[in-house]
Amino acid sequence: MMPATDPVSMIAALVAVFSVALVIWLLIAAGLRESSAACLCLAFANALQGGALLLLRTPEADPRWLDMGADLMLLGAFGLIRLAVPLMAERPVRWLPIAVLVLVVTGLLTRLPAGPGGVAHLMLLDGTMGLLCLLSARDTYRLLRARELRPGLAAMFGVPFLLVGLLLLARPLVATMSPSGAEALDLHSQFSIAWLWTALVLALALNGTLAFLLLMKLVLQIRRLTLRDPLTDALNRRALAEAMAREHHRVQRGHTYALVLLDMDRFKQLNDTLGHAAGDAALKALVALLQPCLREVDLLGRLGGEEFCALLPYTDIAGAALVAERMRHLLERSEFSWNGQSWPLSASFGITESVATDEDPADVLRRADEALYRAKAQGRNVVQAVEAADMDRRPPAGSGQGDPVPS
Amino acid sequence: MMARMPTLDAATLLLVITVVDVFACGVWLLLGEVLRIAPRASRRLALHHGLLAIVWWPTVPPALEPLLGLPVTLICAGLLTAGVRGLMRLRHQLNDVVAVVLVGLAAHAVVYPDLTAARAISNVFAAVLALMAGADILRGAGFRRPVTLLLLMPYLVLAGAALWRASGLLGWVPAGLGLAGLTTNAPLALVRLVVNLSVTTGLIALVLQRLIARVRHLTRRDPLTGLLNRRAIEEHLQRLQSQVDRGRTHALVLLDVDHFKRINDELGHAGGDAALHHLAEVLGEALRTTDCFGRVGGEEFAVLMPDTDEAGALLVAERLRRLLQERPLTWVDKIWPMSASFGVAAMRLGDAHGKDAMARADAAMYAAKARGRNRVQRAPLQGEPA
Repeated sequence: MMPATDPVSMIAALVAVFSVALVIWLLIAAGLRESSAACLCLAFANALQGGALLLLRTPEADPRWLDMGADLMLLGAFGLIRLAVPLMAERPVRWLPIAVLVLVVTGLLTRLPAGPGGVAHLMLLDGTMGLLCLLSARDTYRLLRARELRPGLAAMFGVPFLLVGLLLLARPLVATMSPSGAEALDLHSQFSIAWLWTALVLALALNGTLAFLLLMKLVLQIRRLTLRDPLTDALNRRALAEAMAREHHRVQRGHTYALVLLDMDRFKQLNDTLGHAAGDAALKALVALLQPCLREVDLLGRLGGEEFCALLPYTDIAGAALVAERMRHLLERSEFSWNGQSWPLSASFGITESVATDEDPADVLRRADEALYRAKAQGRNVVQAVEAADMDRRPPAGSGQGDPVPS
Repeated sequence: MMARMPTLDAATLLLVITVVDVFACGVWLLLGEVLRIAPRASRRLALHHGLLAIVWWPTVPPALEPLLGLPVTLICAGLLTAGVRGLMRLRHQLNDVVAVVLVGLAAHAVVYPDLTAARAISNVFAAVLALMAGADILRGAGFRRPVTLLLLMPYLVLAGAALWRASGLLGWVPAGLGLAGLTTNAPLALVRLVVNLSVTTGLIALVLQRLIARVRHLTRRDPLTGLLNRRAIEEHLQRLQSQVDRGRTHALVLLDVDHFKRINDELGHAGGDAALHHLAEVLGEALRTTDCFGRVGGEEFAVLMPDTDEAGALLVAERLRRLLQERPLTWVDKIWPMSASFGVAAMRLGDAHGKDAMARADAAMYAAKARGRNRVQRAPLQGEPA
């Protein structure tokens, strides 16, 4: 047998939950200085919810003021939660409409009789809070989807907000249907008890969801920092090497992949003439230009300096040639200027495809490097291909490097 | 004490604690299994909360307490301590924790079926394990002191309450001053709820702090050499410039590896990386802890020297140059001599963000390259030819 629930103890437990949440959010905001605005919002939201519960429990005071105070606190709490979600993602927030909404609704609530029979009061109060929660649910879902989280997982984290919203909307509905059931929180009614339990679980879930949003943000930031080159946002060398190793596993199963290796032409002159900042801007512009030439499965990485490599799965050398030629053409036609001074961008391209005899991705990369070397030797701004068979006929490494290469 | 507070119901609070434990179990599973944050520690903590929820579930018959309830509670306390240690990453072995838990279990077996003695034993060992977890937090949490002490509170409360209850059970405190158990003592149950919540949320705050520290490290460090990256150097430069404007003297040295392209061509990219690593290590050892040493570009490095004038910086640069010359790179089976060209500039008043000092040091470094490399060059003064 489950023991009967005592509503007073439940309220005490809820206040305890809100207090701990208040302290922890303050600690994150002040001690860790991470997403401070969002965490402060949440700290105050918890404080307001706990305060509202305590106010409702306080006997002998002017009930009219008490009700207004509790209403304002609850509405304020949900308004703050509504603000916290976009703040967590460092998105712009419009706090003014929410503040106006909270104040206007509180003003309206003072005109409506509360307590027993105050169905209109309950409907307006819980309806507004429910609406704010539903909006937070939508925000959470969109936010997580924007961070490329799977739709299922993103929906899972919107669910607590959705449930709180629906629960809040359910209270006035139940009150309309059985006007004696839902007025005061400490009535031993079945609905009150169920509502308190749900409030507890959802208070936990709401705070948990927001903590998860914060964690998620940090985890994705770390992943980005470890996988991407901070300047150009292309993959870094290590991430590209890992992707190539994964792709190479499939070569044995008959899937070929191709590499397009490219090196920006006259990058040193650009740096020396227009400065390092211009060089950085040119690299960024190059990546922005090349990315649209690639499919979703293709990966573009920066190998270092001004050298980039595109990994094209399920592609042979002819396909890679098309991609590289398109890239070359786009770069040649692009207009890059720095402080009003224009600079022609171009790059040299070396392409190759994987063959079954390649032992590891380094063999493929070496051929692409050889092709790139030939492209540079041909006078830059060209695409050159090297096939595995060409490499076998090539003189030993080092000796043939000065020769002009016929194509 | 309870006169002015409404009476609370221990059974309800215990049920709330159980629900909180179920929730906490889910949170740690999510952290460990979905986000892959500290998976092993997360699993221990999830098990801690999960087992507690089972033991405290109100429909578990009281007759099982000596056989199931108390031993499992002890194991839970051990799991919490093990989880905290995993999160702290202080040391990996858990021998002491396992030993305490095993001794506690053995003690339970010895006193069986004396329930009072078993409860006292359970509380004593729970207190020891809570204190062990607290000690790990005290040493391992990278927070500022007051915050660490705040995080420590729940463990101290846990240990204190357990010891109080144990001494009451053993008859060491006068009758009436002992602490009743959770199932009949509602205030204690409320405290326990707050403690449980604080433990979980505090540990999550700790995880957050670890992640934040990692993000800050990654955004300020060059991944190859582990030195400061260009952005961090520029930030430091800006900070130093504001001090120069208030009358202090700082200097800046830029250096560029000589013939780096040749190293790359002859030893391969991995060899080039090793050369940069080598340089960071050799020069890093020779610098003061207050100097800011960073990699600002491909093979270009910067050293910001606070409270150093130009003459001092020239001396240091010369020492660094000689050091690098004396310690060649060893790569696979080759010994490869390395050198660098240095440009030194003193920071000046009224220079926006220190950009001018950087440009002058860069010009001096190029002058050093032009004059045959492996040398230190002072930045020309205003009006003086380079």
